[in-house]
Amino acid sequence: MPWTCLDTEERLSDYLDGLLAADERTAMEAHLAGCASCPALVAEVRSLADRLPRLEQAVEPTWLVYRILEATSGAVRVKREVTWKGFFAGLLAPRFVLGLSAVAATIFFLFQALGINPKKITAEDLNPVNVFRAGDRQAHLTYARGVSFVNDLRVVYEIRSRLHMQEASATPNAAPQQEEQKNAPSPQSDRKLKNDLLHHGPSVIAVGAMAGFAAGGLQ
Amino acid sequence: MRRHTRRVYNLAYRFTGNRQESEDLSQEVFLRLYRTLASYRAVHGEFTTWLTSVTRNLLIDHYRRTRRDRLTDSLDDEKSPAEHKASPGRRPDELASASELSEQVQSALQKISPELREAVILRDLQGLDYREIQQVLSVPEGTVKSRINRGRIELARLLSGMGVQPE
Repeated sequence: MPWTCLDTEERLSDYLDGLLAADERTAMEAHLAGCASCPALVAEVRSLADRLPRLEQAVEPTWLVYRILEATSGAVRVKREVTWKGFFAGLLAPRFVLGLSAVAATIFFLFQALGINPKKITAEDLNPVNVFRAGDRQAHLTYARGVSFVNDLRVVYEIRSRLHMQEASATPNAAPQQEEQKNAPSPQSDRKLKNDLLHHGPSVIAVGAMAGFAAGGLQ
Repeated sequence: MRRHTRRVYNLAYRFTGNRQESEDLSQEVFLRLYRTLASYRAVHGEFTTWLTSVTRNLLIDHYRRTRRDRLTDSLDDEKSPAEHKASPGRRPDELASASELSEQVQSALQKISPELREAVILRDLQGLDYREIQQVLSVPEGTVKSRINRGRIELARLLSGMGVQPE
């Protein structure tokens, strides 16, 4: 079967790469010797196959490498596998335990401040209106207790200053070194103090008792 | 890193003929490579072959995505005089210039089918052997040889039409 132009075209790369069998190569070269068009095609393809590997490479921009590095440096997200063991280990982490304790303490103090009993908590206790009212009530109570405490202190100091004045008037020539002992309430002054205190409210009685106790402690 | 970047960039540039697209595609190749690096096994062959394979797959995806745009562009080209057509008035010494030949080849590559184009690029521009090309393209060896042969012939005829003379 004679070698045709189509055969040449189909086996051209094999011919150029030296992959044709000897008899095929002979047949093809015989065809090329007598063909008007095939030798030109062979020359063109041979030239192309020689020149293509020697073509200068396209040069990428310098910043491309840095852009790729920047893009790939955070591209992979480590997917953490969640296991029960890991979950409980996370619960025992110091950071989590401390955070949980802080939250519990905050809730405890908040309940205390609002007058809510955690054991008997109801949905009504968590109603914002009720929470506000309870907070407002507690704030006023705290303020009132503060005011009462300051007033009681004032009464105590007043009583003590009166006692000092009575003692000073009873013994005007006493030696200065005995003054401290005289400052201590005598049985008579204690009785007068109690009489004075009877004219004040119950809280003042308590404060007066405290003052007596304090004075006794000085002896 | 720079060597691999150049290889990928050249493959992309020769295939698409567009520098901007080649830069974006190169970055996309490395991103994909980075994400799938854990799946790389020695059975995939040499790393370079695997890299080429990833690049080639991305280029084919890109080719399919942009097919409609290219059809529109080619219609526009037919209405206006083609800038890259053969210029018979050019002197032989101009055509002999290496950079000009590179541009001529680049222009001719865009005119042949993507199957033939990728085969010629991998064989004659990237220097892969038949077995590596077979791995990259996932086609039988006979198909690889046939595509390279037809690609070279079409490219040679196009270059001849542009006035490029054989050496």
